Amino acid sequence: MNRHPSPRRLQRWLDTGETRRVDRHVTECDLCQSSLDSLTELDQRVVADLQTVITAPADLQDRTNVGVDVRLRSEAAAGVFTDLFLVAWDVAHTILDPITDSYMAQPEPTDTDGSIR
Amino acid sequence: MSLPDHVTGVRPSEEQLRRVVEQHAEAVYRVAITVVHDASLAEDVVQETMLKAWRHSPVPPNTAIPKAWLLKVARNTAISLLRTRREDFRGPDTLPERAAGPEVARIVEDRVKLEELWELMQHLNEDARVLIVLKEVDGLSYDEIALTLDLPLSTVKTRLYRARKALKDALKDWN
Repeated sequence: MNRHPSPRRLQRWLDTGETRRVDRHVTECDLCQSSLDSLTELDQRVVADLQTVITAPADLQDRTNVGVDVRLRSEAAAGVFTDLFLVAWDVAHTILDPITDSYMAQPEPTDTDGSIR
Repeated sequence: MSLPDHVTGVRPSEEQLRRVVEQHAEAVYRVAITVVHDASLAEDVVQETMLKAWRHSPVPPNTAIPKAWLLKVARNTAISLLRTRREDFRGPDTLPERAAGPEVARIVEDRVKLEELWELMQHLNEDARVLIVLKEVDGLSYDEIALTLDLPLSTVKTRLYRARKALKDALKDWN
């Protein structure tokens, strides 16, 4: 569609989504886009009221900072706990390894005929 | 209080995180409340979004986190939170106080109007609500909205026209 749709046609397109030709034209035409902008422009009072309805609580920033801090600290604490556990595990391993190794290194007990018990 | 080195690494510093909160917490909240309709859930979304920004920042430290990226994370976080805890509708008593006037009657009337507006917004689909908030309240450009919603620019424009039209229609008897 090379010709611009009439305002009535644009209005119908807004209401019903018809037709594909208008659809294609609108996506490429700056002039029609600006007509649609004006046709659908919201009253500034509505925008202001909308802003009020979804306004954030006054202490949102403080509460967010506190909440984020608490989460990060508990994650950091969990990280330290895991590190400590791993160190303890390594130490236990180092101590127990020689004992286990020497035990494992012992020959299997055998019967007098040489077969494994 | 500073975080241990193994936590900080190459992530933004705490100071940077505070700056992101300062600059964007309110915009993130607006997107969140538009999706989840609940003030306390929306605050959870804000915290979660900020933590994600800190953990998975798309830009190197000392670089400003793009608002569009942050709002996209916020919307996705809100949608997944809503999937796990579906408690629709924020009660009217949680609506913020409007600028106080001298007459109680007028204040009450204002609050009733705001509650009605909020209800009318709920009749739009989530996509339309977020589009309206991003464009009309946060003043994002079409390009930024396209990035936030992962949509082609032309789709953003046509959906926004229809969203505004739907809201205008819903508002006909409102005033």
